Amino acid sequence: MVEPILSVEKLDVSFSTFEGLAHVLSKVTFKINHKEVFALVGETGCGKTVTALSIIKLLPRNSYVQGRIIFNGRNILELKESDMVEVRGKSMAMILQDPSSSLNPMFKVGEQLCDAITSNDPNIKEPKRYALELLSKVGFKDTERVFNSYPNELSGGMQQRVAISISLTGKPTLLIADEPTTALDVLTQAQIIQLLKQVRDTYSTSVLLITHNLGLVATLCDRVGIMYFGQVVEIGPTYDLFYNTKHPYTKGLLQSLPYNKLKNQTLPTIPGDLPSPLSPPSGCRFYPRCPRSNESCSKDVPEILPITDKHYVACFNPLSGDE
Amino acid sequence: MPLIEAKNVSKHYYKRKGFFGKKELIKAVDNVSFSIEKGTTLGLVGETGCGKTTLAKCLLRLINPTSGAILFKGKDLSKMKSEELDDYHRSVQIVFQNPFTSLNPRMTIRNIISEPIITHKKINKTELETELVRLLKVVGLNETHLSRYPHELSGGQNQRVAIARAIALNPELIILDEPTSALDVSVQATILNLLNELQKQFNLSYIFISHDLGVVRFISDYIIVMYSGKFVEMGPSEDILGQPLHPYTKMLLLALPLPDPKKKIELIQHQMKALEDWRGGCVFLQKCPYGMELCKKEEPEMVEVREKHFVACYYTIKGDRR
Amino acid sequence: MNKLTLSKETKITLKLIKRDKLAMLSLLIITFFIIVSIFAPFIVPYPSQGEGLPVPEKRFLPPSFENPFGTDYLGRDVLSRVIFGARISLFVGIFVVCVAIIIGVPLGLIAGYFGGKVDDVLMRITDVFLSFPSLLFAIALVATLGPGLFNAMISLSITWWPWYARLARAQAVTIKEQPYILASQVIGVKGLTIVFRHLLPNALTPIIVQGTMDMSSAILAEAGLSFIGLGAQAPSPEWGLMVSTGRIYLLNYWWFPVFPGLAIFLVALAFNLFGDSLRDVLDPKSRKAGGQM
Repeated sequence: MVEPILSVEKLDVSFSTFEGLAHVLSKVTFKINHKEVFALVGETGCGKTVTALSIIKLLPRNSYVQGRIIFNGRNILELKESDMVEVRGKSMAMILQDPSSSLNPMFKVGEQLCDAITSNDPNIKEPKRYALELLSKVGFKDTERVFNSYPNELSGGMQQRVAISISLTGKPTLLIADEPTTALDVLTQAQIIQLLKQVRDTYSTSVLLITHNLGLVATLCDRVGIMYFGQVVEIGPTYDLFYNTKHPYTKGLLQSLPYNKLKNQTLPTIPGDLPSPLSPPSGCRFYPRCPRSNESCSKDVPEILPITDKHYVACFNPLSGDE
Repeated sequence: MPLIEAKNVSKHYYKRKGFFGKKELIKAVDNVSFSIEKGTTLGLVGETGCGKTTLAKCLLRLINPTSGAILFKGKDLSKMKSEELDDYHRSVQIVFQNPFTSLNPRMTIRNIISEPIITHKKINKTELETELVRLLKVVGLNETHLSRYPHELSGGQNQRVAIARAIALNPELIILDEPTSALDVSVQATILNLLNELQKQFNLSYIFISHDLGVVRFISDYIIVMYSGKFVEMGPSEDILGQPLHPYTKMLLLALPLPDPKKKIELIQHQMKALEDWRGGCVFLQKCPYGMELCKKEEPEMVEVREKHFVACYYTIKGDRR
Repeated sequence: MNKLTLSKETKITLKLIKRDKLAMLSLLIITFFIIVSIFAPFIVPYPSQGEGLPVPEKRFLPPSFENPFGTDYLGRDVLSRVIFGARISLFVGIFVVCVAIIIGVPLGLIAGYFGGKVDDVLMRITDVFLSFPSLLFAIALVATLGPGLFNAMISLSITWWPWYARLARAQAVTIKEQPYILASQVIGVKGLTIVFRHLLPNALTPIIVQGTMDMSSAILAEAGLSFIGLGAQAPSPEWGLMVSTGRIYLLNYWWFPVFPGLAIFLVALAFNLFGDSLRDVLDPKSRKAGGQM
């Protein structure tokens, strides 16, 4: 069996806040294989962004981290900041939600791109040629013009493509994309989706996609992890997750989507609200809102266990196939 | 009689390019006509900057259209007296995309919801209180929320507060400006359910602005597809989504990622590269995969192709005739 | 807002201030001076001397148990006078800043919210005021109005409100783009109501910070005016005036000018530091780092 690119094992993260300690992640475990697009899906506050920030080691100072994050054979949590600088941007890169704020408006696209190239490898003699090559790889035709543009002269989709080209300068093995298309229009989003697929194929990069958009997940990803309230509740290949859903929360999410539903139909919803991270419910964190919960759910925390060899679920009463 | 009718509404303005640059004419909304019947929902679809929001502002009379007329129950807004206009303002309300920025962070929920009431009515304290409680119940909240501040509530709860504020004056039309795009999936469902319920209960009309065709389809009776300030296609929602006619609508539908791994998205690439810098003629020409010589010369007009289904595209119209 | 229950924001603010040691220290100094000046007549050893009664037989006594800060050239207890001076200085600071805010902030908010001609007219007026160096302008004004504490305060307020108008206008311009302002416009709320109901509370934070920091400048400026003889007049225990009369005795009887000078220094420093920390504390960025999710 091939070693995974990234393996997150029992990651616990908590923040000290003004009101006390907030447990944001609890025993988050998943792995990302070579050349795979893996999505972490969940709603606001479920901890998906915190997971991404833990992996790239950019958590705020008031956080406490436990567990292991093995990336290319090394535990990232034990790396010094000086070693982490080497990892970041080179073997691991990140694309953010809003491309207009991730590019510096004062510098031309070309300068920023060349900067990234030379900082990754000072020995490159012709950074401009490499930069133009990268720009054409992310789908620009008139690369010279883009090279000489300021970010605000480009549209949102073009900016995002520039951001992706910058993240590719170090030929990363893992690309973390935090909601990369949320700020974009449908047509541009489609372009970015295709670009990310292309990047995976040409650069053999694995992609960790952080999103709440299940449509994006279905079209782009190979495997999916569903997060609820700081825990991964279900992991599996995309197809299995959508057509052979096991966890009641995943089912609830999928059913609440308005697609292919008629007007005046009442959408099924998940009852209740998110609990407070300061005092999470005992046992399974989803049980107060779960239609299938019974007594044991309130007492014990379900572990994430395999149902088939690729499909994992953390639930005492998982749905069976035909429900 | 339709509740609101817009006739050839345009909003143009000049924008200076650079400090000494030439003034450039921007056609934010260009010659659009439509009408809304009472109790129906009109979906307005288009990408950022296509003029959806400008059109909404014209309807709210926050800005005046450059030309054209907006009729409310058959009466021209520009010819109304001030009392009639007051009445119109009460009848048209809006709910914004992001509930955290559309509610004043320094006001309690009580003050936020009572603002429209005390602005338009003389009302004593006990009456106001019962009215507030009634409104909160309608949107699925209760009186314990009254003394809270917006940041103490969740996104969904805040959006309910914004809806309560919008319905406080018993409006007839509510403009919903992407009301669920800032919300989570499961919360989106509860808000959409609430909107549908309110529509039935109060016979409301909605204009639902969004770029998510999936959501628009669920809530709308009619859909208008807008591109660069112009309407390109308009018709009953099942018709538009089932048999889209305009190339732009088709592209949007094919590019929409659906939550179904069996379906793949598709991007139609345009073949006529020479057209990329062309200006004039059809607004969609630069991105259109089917651009023809005729499209360069003249702008297509909206033509009724099927019953109540209009499209502005030479390719579609000519193609139909063939 | 007249309820006793504190909002979450306020609680966080208080917690952050408690965490900031410099802020606590400066707050302590400020409260100390405020309490002392409120109860001045009851706590000073010689209230009548504090207000200016000369005691010729006790001239220039060095600090001792009876006169901890020594006595001045008319034999008055310096401690008593410094404490009475605190009343004047704090009052001047609060008065000048408050008047400047009361005049400047509404004008700035109105200019920023309505824009167009209103904005042009109001802002050109403030520009006229701002084009003079403010202390020089204040001196010129006092000279015309006639020297005296009250006239000095009035002139300082007049030279200062344009700064607040500018600050408030900048706030208004950004806040008026917020959707909640648009929402109120849709409801049909009148312009001035929007300015005071929606803009004012949301624009207040940087104004309060500026006001706190300006307290020290106001106290200094007033002391300066008194020092050159345009502010408080002779028997008044105003700090600047005391330093001014005492400066010729600095080498022989140092306690006479040094203690009031020290008081000016302490109060000014405390307000400055407190304003500084207040800005950090109220900055949403520093709050986030403090630990939300």
